[in-house]
Amino acid sequence: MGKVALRVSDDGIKIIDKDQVLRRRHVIALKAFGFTKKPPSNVYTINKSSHDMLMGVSDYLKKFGYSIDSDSATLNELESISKVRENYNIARQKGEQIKHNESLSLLQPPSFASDVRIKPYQLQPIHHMIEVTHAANFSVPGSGKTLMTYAVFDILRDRGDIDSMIVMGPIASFGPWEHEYKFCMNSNSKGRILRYHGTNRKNHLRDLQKYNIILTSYETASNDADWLKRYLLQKKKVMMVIDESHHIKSISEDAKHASAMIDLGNHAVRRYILSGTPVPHSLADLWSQITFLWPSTKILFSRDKYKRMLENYGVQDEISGRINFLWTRVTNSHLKEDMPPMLPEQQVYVKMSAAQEAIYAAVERDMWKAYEKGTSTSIDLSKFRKNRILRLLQCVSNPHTMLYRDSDYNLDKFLSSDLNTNASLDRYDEIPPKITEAAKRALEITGRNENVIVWTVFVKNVEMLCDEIKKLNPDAQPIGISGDVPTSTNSQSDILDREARIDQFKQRTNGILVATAGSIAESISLHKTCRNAIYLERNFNAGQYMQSLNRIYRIGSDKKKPVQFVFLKSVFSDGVTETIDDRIDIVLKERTEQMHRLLNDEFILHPLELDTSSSAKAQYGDGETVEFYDDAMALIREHRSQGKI
Amino acid sequence: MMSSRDEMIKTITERTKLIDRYIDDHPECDTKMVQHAFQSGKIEAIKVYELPRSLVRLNPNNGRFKAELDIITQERKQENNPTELNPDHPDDVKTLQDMIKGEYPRSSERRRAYENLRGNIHEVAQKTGTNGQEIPGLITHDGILINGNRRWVVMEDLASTDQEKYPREPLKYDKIHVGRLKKDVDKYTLWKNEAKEQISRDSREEYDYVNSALEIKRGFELLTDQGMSKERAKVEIAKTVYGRDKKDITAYLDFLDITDLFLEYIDKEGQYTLVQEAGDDKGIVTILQDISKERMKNVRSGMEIEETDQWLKTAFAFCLFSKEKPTVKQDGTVKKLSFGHREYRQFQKKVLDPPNIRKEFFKNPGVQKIDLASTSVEDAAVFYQAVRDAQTKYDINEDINTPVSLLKRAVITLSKISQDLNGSRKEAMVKQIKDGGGMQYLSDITTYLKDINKKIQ
Repeated sequence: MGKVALRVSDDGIKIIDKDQVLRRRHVIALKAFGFTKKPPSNVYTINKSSHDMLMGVSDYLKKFGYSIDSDSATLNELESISKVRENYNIARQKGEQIKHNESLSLLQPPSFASDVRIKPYQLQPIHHMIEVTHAANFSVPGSGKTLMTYAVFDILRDRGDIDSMIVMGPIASFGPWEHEYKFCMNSNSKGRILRYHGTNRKNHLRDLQKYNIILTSYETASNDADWLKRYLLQKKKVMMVIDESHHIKSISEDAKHASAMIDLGNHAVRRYILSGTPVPHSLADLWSQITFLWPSTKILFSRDKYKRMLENYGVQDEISGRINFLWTRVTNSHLKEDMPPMLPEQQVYVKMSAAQEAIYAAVERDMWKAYEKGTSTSIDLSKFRKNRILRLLQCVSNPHTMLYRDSDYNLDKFLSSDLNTNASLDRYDEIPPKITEAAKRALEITGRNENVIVWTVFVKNVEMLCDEIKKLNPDAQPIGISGDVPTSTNSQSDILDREARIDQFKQRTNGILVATAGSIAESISLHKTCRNAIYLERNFNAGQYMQSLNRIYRIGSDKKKPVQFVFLKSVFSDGVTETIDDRIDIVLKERTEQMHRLLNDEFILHPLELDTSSSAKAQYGDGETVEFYDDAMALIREHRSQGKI
Repeated sequence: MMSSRDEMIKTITERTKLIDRYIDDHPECDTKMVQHAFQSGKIEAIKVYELPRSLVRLNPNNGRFKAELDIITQERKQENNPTELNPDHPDDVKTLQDMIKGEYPRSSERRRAYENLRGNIHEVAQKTGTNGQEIPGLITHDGILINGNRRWVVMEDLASTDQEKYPREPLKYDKIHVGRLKKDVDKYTLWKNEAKEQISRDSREEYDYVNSALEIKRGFELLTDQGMSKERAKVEIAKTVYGRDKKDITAYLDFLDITDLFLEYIDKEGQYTLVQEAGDDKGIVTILQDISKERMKNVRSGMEIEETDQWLKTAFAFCLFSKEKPTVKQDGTVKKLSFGHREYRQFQKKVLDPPNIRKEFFKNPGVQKIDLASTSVEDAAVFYQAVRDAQTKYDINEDINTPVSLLKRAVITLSKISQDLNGSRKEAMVKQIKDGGGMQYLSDITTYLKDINKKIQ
């Protein structure tokens, strides 16, 4: 067929057809592909280049019998692509083998403290991460993903495969990574660990190479991507870990964090992702996470092609097949034996006061009226439903919350169409019974010299509950955390940041932590010092609820001391008529059971159709709101037939 | 001896002088009306004159007829004639007239459009006693029509037509209303004036898609040749042609790009009339537009070059058969193999889009052996059958995977278990269900049913 020259450079790819040997069909294919030619030259150029593209062009020309003359740069590039492909094939083979191997050898990372033992069920993910080179650990929350990652880090560093590790995660995860490091490593092996975060972080750029472990957030890593490449990733053999990797799930081209992680990952010698819920919403969530691991192999194709693929029905099998080799999961069933005992959960019914009940009934009446009247547009409807349910949730615990703007949920002060309701609300000046009950129960626990966490949904309740606790026992020093508390301390302010408050709580033996689920449900571990949780209220975000349970119920807790969960639920003053709290309870039970089953599947990744993001927006998925709205209306219908509203 | 170029310049100069003199000698030719046109870097109001039609010339480079002009140019080249048409030469004027009327190169679409215009102008002329012209044309300073070529030909036609059909009123049609541009207007400004009128979305005299694309490309090249970036050039052109945005301009250029590749593929480079649609013969332009969009998607999604090659070949084969309209004899009757644009969309959706079906289709020996430079009816029949087979495969797969089919299969499975529980195997089955974790599955089924019902209510 003749000879053509192939050249690759930063500017793209060139095919030089000096002897005009390219056949018409191939010339046209090159043009359709994006190559251009400026007559009279016989050079075809394309101003972009990727591994896939170069290899594809080379294979294509070879397939049709052209001999290719490549310069050394092109040859090197082609060889390195072949190497990536070869590595990928090996990883694929090894990944499948490890997933089916039930007798894996025991491991003891060389620098681990002698009393830190790898659990049998952690062996598979660790072997897998080491052998597959770029892998995912999708173990359920509480299964020790951090410890497993440190084991991998230690073994690889000992082998000389890596020099250091950089972890990108939520800011709240920095503390747990540091604590776990201290816990795992023996005293001789404590390396240097750096939080690359905050306004002064760039002072550390030149020293980055000196640290063994660098912790940073997705945002900081995205902003400083070029610096991190220049001062760390291009200088050292770095293992890059994305913790809670579902945070980079966006498939959108504009997704800043996801794109930055993929770009940075190209410069790391090892890449890992960690998440207990990697597919919180749909299969689209996987693209960025998987592409980060194997960017040039395009396991899930290009972004556009994957999106197009998802438009077809029944593609889950193909996607599962493609990624099966690269992930492992420790499930709840593996953890059973290492989990602390759990006392039967306590459902505590608290009667609403007459004033509270009147307001609650008025809000239900308002909802019913609007329900019967109908609303004009679907946008109105979704917003309306969301707001109404939030009002019921606010009212059933503490009507005061309705009088203040809640920035987390973008709710203004409540105004009813019924002026009497507004007047009752303005006059409402008591401490709601549920708040008092929660305070009493928390103090009861601290009286036994135990720590307790009280979970709430609304910011205002954190403040009121802390006040009530202090009122009942002036010596108590409850610690409050909500979205209003900064994630990291501003040097200008004397407000303790979230992490400092959590540390303070952990050091106590009779401490009370009052927190909103949105602020700390993810990434922190309280299980070593706290075995009691009281839920003042819950919303219907099952993902977040599960995360909150796992803060105290996870491996590593004292197996002899049981964990206790208490759920406060308001009822009407007759003591039996249920409120929205009960409906929430039913929905959460159903959803958590379903999620447990899905997460317990070791072989398939199921989309959970929820969003576990800790941001306030994600707390109320529209789909869930609509679904739950029907339950709420059924309850109100019942109340009407009972003459309660 | 004077060269043909010198002669042309001399003619141009004389024509310019004649127009100048006529305007000086006939102050009444200023109609006191104005029209808006681009010149001196902006839109200006320019005077409209009533000039003798004999002073105005048809435009031998009119973008409206680029596709047809290319054919004529090719033919003249082969016959060793000067390729450029001379607007002052009677034979060349006749060629231009025939082309505008759709007589040669033959185009029923163009012919119909011409007849419509002639009917309209005649009707207005009859009603108003004027030349029937509703919108003034536009000429260069030396009298070449930028806009109004078809109107000029209609008037020429009406002035000499059959008296019975159109009562002869020759004098009426001897004058034409035109705006006159200044001297030395640059090429791009001329293009803008032509395009503004003829490609704008609300233009009454819309080009056919291929000629519009060619005209846009001409403007685009004038700008990029001056060093303007491609993206800026698209924006600039979109500003000129009213009602079109950058996306439209990109679509025209992309269409032309794929059309060029198609013509090159079938060894008919530059023969754009092959892809023009005529009358009810809609199809090939729409198919090429679809292929063009698909090409962009493929580039974005990183389709590999080998696959691009195979995709292009099959898409172009469809396109070619759409033009050739092959027929086969079947059961004693002649059957047309349908390769219309609707069929192409089905082909795209059912054969080219699903990766597995596409791959298999490309491997089909009948598809592989097609050579687009020389196709036969047999090739078309084999290709047609391969498309049909692949589409059937898609339909079957689709049916298997639809939610309704999946539900149906679930019902069949459950009803089988339910029936078996009535028979002698009941005890054994109950044991199997209980011991094998079946109760959990039953509970899961109930949960999912509840969930599905809730979601679809």
